Amino acid sequence: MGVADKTAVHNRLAVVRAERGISRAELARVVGVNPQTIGFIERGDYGPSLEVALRICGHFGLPIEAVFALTPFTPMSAQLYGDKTRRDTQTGEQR
Amino acid sequence: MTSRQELRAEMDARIQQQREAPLPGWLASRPRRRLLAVVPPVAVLACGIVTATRPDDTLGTVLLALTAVLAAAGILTLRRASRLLDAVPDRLLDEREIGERNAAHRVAHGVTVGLFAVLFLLAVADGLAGRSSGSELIPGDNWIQVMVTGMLVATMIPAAVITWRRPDPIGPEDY
Repeated sequence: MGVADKTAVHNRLAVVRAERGISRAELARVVGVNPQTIGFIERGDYGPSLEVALRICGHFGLPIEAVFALTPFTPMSAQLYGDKTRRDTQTGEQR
Repeated sequence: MTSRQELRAEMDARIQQQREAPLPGWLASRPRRRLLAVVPPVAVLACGIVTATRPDDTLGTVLLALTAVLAAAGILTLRRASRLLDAVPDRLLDEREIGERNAAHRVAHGVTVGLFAVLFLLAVADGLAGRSSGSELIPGDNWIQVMVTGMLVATMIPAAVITWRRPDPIGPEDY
């Protein structure tokens, strides 16, 4: 896949990487790719091979579906708090 | 580690250092990179063809030397702009870079075949024109110069395609 083409694989690598406080260069070194490649993956310009995707997820200790998906991810904040807010509205609980 | 392996490791490190060096500022924008991808091959080809039309006089020799200098400068500049992607061994590239290089070679192959097809048709047309009217644009032996120019341009094409297709690099941010 050329880097100019947008990939059909969505990812939340940038969020996970920022959360763990790991630089692109550091992750690239661990995974064995060029730091630019990590940037292209985050930007959605490049879909990594299964091997690289597994190495990335292995480094973070996450299942592959937590980082890569074929459908767009909902924002992490909505996933964390969206459901809770709905529950609170339904039960009328005060937070 | 044997001395051969050490030498190879040292060479690899030097190449990687060259590849990671930031590009000059004037190559930062995509339109400029695309201009760079087009100008050297076209200039070398034009200069080579003009040289071939000239008789073997002093100006012809100067133009021939100019073609060689332009070709050398063009190859070096394009390799710099493409970060040596078409010139380094596979072991120094990751999967994205290998894919990028292979895609560029596919395009470059088509461009090269097209270039030589056009030169072949020009040679045939010029030969036929020479037989019918007695005046050729490029004298018979000078087609060798045109072919050499074509080969010089062909060596530039993969790096030119990589430079043309290369997206803007990712910034050096960390988080």
